Amino acid sequence: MTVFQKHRGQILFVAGVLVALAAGWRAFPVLRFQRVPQPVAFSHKIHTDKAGAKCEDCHFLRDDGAWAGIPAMDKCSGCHAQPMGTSAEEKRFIDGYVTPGREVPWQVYSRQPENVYFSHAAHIKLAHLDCRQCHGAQGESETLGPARVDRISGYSGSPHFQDMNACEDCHRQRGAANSCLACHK
Amino acid sequence: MGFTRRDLLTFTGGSAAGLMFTPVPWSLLRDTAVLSENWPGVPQPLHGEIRTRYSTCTLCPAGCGVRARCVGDRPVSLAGVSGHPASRGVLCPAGLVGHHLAFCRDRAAEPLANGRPVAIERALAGVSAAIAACGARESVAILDPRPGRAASLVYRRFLAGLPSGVHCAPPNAEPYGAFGIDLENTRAILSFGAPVLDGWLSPGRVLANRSHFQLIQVEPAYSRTASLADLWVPVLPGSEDGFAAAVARALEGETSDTHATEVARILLRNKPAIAVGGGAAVATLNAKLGSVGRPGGFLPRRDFTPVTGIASVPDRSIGVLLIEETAGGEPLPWDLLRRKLIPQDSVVVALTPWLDGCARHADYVIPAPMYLESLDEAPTPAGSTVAGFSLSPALLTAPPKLTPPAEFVLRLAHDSATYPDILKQRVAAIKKDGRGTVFTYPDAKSARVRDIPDLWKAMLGGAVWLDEPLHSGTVRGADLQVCAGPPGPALPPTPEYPLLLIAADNPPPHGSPLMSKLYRESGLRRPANAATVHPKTGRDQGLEDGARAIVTSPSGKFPVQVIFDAAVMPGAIEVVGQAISPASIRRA
Repeated sequence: MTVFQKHRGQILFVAGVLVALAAGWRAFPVLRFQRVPQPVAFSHKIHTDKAGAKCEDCHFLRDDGAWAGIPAMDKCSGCHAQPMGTSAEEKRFIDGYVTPGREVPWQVYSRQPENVYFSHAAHIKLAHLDCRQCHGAQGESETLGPARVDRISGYSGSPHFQDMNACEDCHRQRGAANSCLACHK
Repeated sequence: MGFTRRDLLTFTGGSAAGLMFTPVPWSLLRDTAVLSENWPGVPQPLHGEIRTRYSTCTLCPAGCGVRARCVGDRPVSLAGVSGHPASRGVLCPAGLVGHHLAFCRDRAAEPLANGRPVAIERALAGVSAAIAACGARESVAILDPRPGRAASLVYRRFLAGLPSGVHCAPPNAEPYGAFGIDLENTRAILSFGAPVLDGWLSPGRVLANRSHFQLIQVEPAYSRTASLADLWVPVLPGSEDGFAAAVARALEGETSDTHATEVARILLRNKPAIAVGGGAAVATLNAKLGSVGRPGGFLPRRDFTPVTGIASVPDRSIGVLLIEETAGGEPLPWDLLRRKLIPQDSVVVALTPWLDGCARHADYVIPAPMYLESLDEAPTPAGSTVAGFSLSPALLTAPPKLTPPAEFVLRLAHDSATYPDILKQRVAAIKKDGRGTVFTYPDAKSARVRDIPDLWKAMLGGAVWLDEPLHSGTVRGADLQVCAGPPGPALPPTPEYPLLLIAADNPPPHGSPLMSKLYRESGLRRPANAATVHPKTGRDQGLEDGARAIVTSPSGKFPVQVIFDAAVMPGAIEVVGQAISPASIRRA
C-alpha cells in the first residue's frame, strides 16, 4: 500500500483546502469585480502639466459648502469648444460630447450605498486633509483606470477609494467622531 | 482505484473548510446584504454635478421660499431660504419632501373621460360642448382653490365671456379677506380652533414670533396647538361663537363666565391682541379689541379681489363645474359641491394631478403637473400684511400628457396665450408699477423693483416681490367680515343624531406631527377613515376601540374605523375634513 493510498482521505482533504484557498485568494478577487472602462481617455497629467490646472480648478467646494464633484460639460467645453490637438480620442470627445452638449457618463470610483454620507467640506476645511491622502497620485495619472464594479452589489471596489476600515482608522488616529451615525445617516 | 464518491465528499469537505479562510463567504455575505439596493425599479439618485436651485412652494398658501439641492437636474433635498420674508428660512414637513410628490402612484397620467383614457383634444371638445349646452339658468363654475393668482385672472376672463359664469372658492380659501396679520407686533392671540402652532399662515413666521405673543387656544379637542398654548380653554363643539361673545362682554366687564373673564384679562394685559378663527362673533370681538387697521392687528393690503364662496352659490344651479385641485391643503367638501350641481345633468371636470379627491366624482379628469413639475406662481403669502408674488420655477421634468389648469381654460377660451405668457404679463405689470421691493433667494438681499433691470429673470432665479404697506383709507372693525374657523352647528343634537361631528387635524403630510414634535398616539395609528371618539362616548354607543362603524349625519353616511382617544371631548366624533354637524355612530 502506497503512502497516497494509506492517507488518501487526508490528502484529498488538504488538496480541497489548498484549491479553495487558491481560488478564494487569487481567482475570487478577480472574478468578483467587473472592470468597466471610462468613456473618455482622460489624462490628469496633461491637464495639470500642460494646461497648468490645479485640483481645485475642477474639483472645488461651492459657496454653500457643497462639493462640486466631477465637472460638468460646461467646464470642459470652456477649453474644448475647439479640438485641443489632433488625436483621435480628442476628436471622439468633441464629436461625441462637446458638440452635442452631452454629459460624459463617467464611471465613478467611489460609488457606495446611499446611506454612506461623506462630506468633502468637513475633510478639507476642518481636517485639512490633502487630496493625495485619500486619492493617492490620481491627479498625476496618464489615464483613468477602469472602474471596478462589484458584480453582485453593483458598488465600487476600486482601490482608488477608501474602504470603511481606512475611514475608521483615520478617524481613530485623529480623534474624530467614529460612531456609526458619523457616516451612516 | 478510481475517484470514488467518498473521495469527492472528502475533497469537497476540504474545500469548504478552506473557503472559510478566504474572503469568499464574508464578501458574499456583505454583497448579498446590499444586493436589493440596486434591483431594477429601486429609485437611484442621479450622479452628476451638484447645484443649488431656487423655487417657491405652492403646496399651501404660505408661499415659502425653497432652496433645492440638485444632483444633475434632479432635486434631492429641499430646504428653506434664509431670510425669506414669509418663511424665515423654514419649510414645513410637507414642504421638505415636496419633491417626492411627483413619484406618487395615485397621480393622473392621462386625460380621462368617464374613467377611460382619451386624447386631450377630445376632452377639450367634450367640455366645450357641455359648456355650450348650458342654458341661461345653468351656470358654468370654476372652483379656484387659491384666488388672487394670475391663473385666477384667466378663469375670471373666461367666465366673463359666458352667459352665466361663476368664479368661486372653497370654504376658508380667503380666511381674512383683504387683511393680513401684523404678527410681528401682536402680543396676544385668541385662537378659536385655528392651528396656530401647527402649520397656520407661514409656519416659519409664526415660530419666529412665538416668544412675543401669548396664545390662548379655544378648542373642543386637546390638539397639538392646544397643548403648546399658554392657555387652553376647552369648549363644547360649536359653542366657539358663544364663547367669543362672552369674551367680548367680559372686555367691558359684563359677564360672569370665569373662563371668559380670565381670557379678557389676558387680552387686556397684552395689547395689541387679536382673535382668529371662529365666525361672525370673532369679527365683532376683534372690533372690540380695536385690532383692525392698527399695528399688531389686522392690516389691509392692496391685492384682494372678492370671490364668491361655493357655499353661497345656489343649490342645483351649476351645469358645468371645473375644479382645480392642484393646490394641497384641506380636502374639498364633495357633499357641498354635489348640492350645487344640477342633478343628473351636470358635468364635473377635475383639473388635478391626483386620481383621488374630486377626480373620483369627475366626468373628465385633466391631469395637471405636480408641484415643481411646471412653472407656477405663489400669490400673497397667507397672513401677509402686504401683497406679494413669486414664481415657482419647475425643478422636475414633467411626464407627457399633462396640462396646467390655467392652460386648459385658455384652450377652452380659444386663447392663443400660454400660462407662462400670463405670468410674464403679471411680472411686467409689477415692473411697470415700480412699487415695492424684491427679495432674491440666492443672495438673500432686497432691492427696489425699479432697481432690478430684468425682473422676470430675477423671479425665475428665485425671488419674491412684496408690495408697499397700504396706509391710505379708513378701516373699520366691521370690515373684517370674513373669518376662518368652524361655523356653529346648523342643527342641535337630536335623539336621532345625539353626537356632534367635528373636524380632526389633517393627516400627514399637511398636518404632520413633525411640525410641533407632538404625537397623539391615536394620530400615529390613525387610518384614513378614522373616527376618533372619547372612550366613554364609544362605549355608550356600544363600540370598541378599532371597531368598524357607520357615521350618519343629515348629509349622508360613511364607513369609519373607531379609534378611542381621551383627548376628544365626550359627545363628539372627530373625523378629518368634516364640517360641524349633528351625527350618530353605530357598529357596522
